[in-house]
Amino acid sequence: MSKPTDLVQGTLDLLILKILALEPLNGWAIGQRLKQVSDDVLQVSDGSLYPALHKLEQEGWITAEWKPSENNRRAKFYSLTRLGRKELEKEAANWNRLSAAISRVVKLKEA
Amino acid sequence: MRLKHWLYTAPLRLRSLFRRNQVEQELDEELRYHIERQIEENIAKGMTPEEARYAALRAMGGVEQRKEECRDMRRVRLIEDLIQDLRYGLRTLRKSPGFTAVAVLSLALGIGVNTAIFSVVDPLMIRSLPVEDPEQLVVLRTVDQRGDVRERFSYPMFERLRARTQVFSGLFAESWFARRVEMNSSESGNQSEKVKLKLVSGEYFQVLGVNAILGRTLTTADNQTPGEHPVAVLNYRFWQRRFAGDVSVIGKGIMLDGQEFAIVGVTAPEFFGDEVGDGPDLWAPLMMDYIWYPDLSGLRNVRDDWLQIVARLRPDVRQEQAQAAVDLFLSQLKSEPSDLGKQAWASRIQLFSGRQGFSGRAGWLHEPLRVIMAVVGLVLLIACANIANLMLARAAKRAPEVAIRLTLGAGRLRLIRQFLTESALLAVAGVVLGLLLAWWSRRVILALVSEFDSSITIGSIVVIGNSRVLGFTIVVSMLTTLLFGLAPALIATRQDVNSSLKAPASRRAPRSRTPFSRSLVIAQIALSLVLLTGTGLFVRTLRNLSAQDFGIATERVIQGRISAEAAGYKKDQLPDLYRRILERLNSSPGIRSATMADAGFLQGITDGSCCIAVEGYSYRPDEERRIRTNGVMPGYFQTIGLPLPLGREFTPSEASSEPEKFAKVAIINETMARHYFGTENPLGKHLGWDDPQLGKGYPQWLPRFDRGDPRQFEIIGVAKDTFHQGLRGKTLPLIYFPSQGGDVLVARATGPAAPLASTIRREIQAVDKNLVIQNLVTANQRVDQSLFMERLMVKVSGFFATLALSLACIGLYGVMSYDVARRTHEIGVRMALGAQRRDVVGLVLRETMLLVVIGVITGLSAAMGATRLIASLLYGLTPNDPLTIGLASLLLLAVAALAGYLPARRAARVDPMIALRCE
Repeated sequence: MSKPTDLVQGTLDLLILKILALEPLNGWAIGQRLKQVSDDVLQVSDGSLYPALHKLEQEGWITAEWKPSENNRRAKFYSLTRLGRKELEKEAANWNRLSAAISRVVKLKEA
Repeated sequence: MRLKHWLYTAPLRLRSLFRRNQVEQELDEELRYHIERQIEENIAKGMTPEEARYAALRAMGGVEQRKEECRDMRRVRLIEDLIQDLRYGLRTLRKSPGFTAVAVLSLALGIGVNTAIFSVVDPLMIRSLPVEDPEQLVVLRTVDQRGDVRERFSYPMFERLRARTQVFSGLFAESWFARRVEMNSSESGNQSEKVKLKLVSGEYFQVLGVNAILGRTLTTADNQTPGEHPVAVLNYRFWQRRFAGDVSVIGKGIMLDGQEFAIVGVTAPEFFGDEVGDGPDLWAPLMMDYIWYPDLSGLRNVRDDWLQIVARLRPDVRQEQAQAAVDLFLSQLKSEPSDLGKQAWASRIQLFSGRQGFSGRAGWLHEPLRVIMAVVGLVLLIACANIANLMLARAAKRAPEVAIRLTLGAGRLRLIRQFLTESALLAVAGVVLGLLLAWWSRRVILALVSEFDSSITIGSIVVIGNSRVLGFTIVVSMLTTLLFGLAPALIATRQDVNSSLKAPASRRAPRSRTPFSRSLVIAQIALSLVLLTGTGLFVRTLRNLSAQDFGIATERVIQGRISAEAAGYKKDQLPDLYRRILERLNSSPGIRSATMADAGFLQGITDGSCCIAVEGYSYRPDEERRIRTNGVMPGYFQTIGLPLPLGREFTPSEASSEPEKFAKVAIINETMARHYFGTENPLGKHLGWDDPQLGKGYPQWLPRFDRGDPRQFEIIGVAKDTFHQGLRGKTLPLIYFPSQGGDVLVARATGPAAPLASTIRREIQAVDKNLVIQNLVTANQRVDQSLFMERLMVKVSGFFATLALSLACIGLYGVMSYDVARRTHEIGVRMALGAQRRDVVGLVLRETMLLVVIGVITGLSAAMGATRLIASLLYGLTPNDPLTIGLASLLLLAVAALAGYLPARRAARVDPMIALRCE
């Protein structure tokens, strides 16, 4: 079984926060949405998604609520908190800086 | 930010802890939802339901593992583990109630007595007075040539010291004893009560740095003119108790012994007085001594030593510098021709730390308390060793369980934590029970202490439950937990998993258990020997002291103190009163004779009287010229049974009722005869007060003779030495003078003396029903009273040594029984091969005795060192008294042999067939 592209450490948190910034979702939907928006490039294993979600919840960045889902079954919906929004801004800025730096390096022409 | 974060996350943590079931259920539901959705999705993609389910689970990668990962995110792991450990610990302890009971009880005993003793030691020996910078305070005391320390000075001496010393930032004087006075106040409806009043110089509160919570304290302006400053400051506690904290008392008047005083202030609540366990109710200026002694003797007389002097060192002066300054002061004073100079007989005025209080009255407790604290500490150690041994035995039984858990992947640290949790549970139970025990035992301690000094009350000393005592208990119990819990935990978890699992049950034990528990037993035996030796030394000290030749007929003599002045008698009425009392007593059945004196056997006061010249003896320049005196009625020696090896007793005519006709005769004791006359015969020699200026210093009972005649009195007899102040220390020179009686009544019975007490009380009441006789006890009972401390030490050390010995024997018995049980197989083989029961007993006993002998040898060297620390409490023997140490070792060997014999006998009963078959 081929593993999906390994996510840079800590990036999963950023992705989850970003997705939840758009709308509250349940765990399964988060996983689906990740695949969708990244054109299946980013496949987060179902196994690592939940510990990450629980960690973010314990940090106070996201909060959970039980609500009926699309098929009318009870599911745990996560949404971003105010603290989470701040964290997202911080991490997004970090990411931008990092990726910009990396692309500059990658684009260097050999002398 | 940090705080906000906490506010947000704290409820989550609490929820994880306390709504654990719900949180778990939600986790389960969340993951189940995911998997079900994934299955639906997979089916939609065209998988069979079976495949779909399988793929979904695989994508999750192990539901239980994910759950565990999610749980790890909750950050309450440590607490959850702890709760789990506690539950587990409680369950295992409940399963072995015998072990739990023994462990908790011995811990409770150890912690309880330590707490109780510490609660006495802390206020008496550790805590400082509640005043400003208590370490700057020094108490002045005089030391004479014999090394006797006294803490009393006269008022003129205080004034001189105050004027001439620059090393102190302040100096004050206070009366040595709190005076008991009658108090009347308008609130009480003029009902009088006794209160404790302390007279202090004006500097008292300023020097101590004690402020008033209400009104003001005393100042130097309150201490100028005799009798002119009727003001008083109330002790906070007294104010609360007596006036219920009424703020309007300031300015009100109270009557003290008939004199009106105005209340000017109340001291701050934390200031109980300057002596632990003995706070006065109120303070008044020294100048008010005038109302009790209008002749101003207390304020003018250089010989009236009734004040204690305390000084505060200047911050830039060290105590040695101050001492040098005081030494210089004294040597200058001595060369002065004034009264004060002549009265300066002390060889030294020494500075003592006043950090904990001034009178040093609690000082007699310091040495014994230090020893008792050490003793109970040792007992706690022994108890810990015992519990550690019990834990080891349990650990051995649990070895298979531990092995399985280690095999299944439990971390060693995790297991150790769990073992320690169990120890902590035991410790907590021990502490709770121990505190209860301490609470109860404070009554016992008080009963023991107050037998000696009734001024020490329960509220003033033994305060269990204050934060310092609780802190001490907590620290002690944490240390003990580590002490008895850590080693077994380490040893139990260090095992070779393979061999433990394979070995037969009877041999399953961590390999290192035996040496470790053996050293524990050796340590216990050694410590017990130290305690036994100490007890032996105290017992022999008590014996030495009470088996002395007291000089008198102790079994026939009964004595008591009549305080006639308290019943309203004036001084000149006393001779007549005494005559009437003695007339009645002398004609009572059972009484052979009765007499009165200043001092009897170990009762009454023989005060030193200064500047006595003795014919043919020239003093060295710095030699003490005070000699103790005792005024006795004719017939005293015969009544008390004190023989006169030389000369004769006073005759009735020598103590005539007319002072001028008083015979100028004296009897001296043997010590005095030896010191002043050597081998010469003292009879016919003379002595007398040789300084005409010192007229005020004559003993009160002595009529005014021509002053300054060094040949006033003729020595007519030499009496055997006896004891007046205490049974320890060497006998001092003493002069008996004829008198018309002092306040100590001495009666000689025709039979046993004890039953006479009621007769004597009745007869005295018949003379005047207001008369009270105090401390009416036989001479033998008096010996017991004065040996209070020695008996206390015997009781305490005896009790704890017995306890220690029993604990050590239980330990020894436990180890040997365990050993025998473990070696059943081996013993069976030996017996099958022809070993006799005797041989088996010998085998086990030999091993037992090896442990004991090693313990005794270790203990001997420990005892040699430890007993030196109690040298000052001993009498008539050296700290390393070979007899005592030998007896203690023998006793220990015998008892230990018995403890070892029981397992040995059990070993001998092993049936070889059964032993061999049990594999």
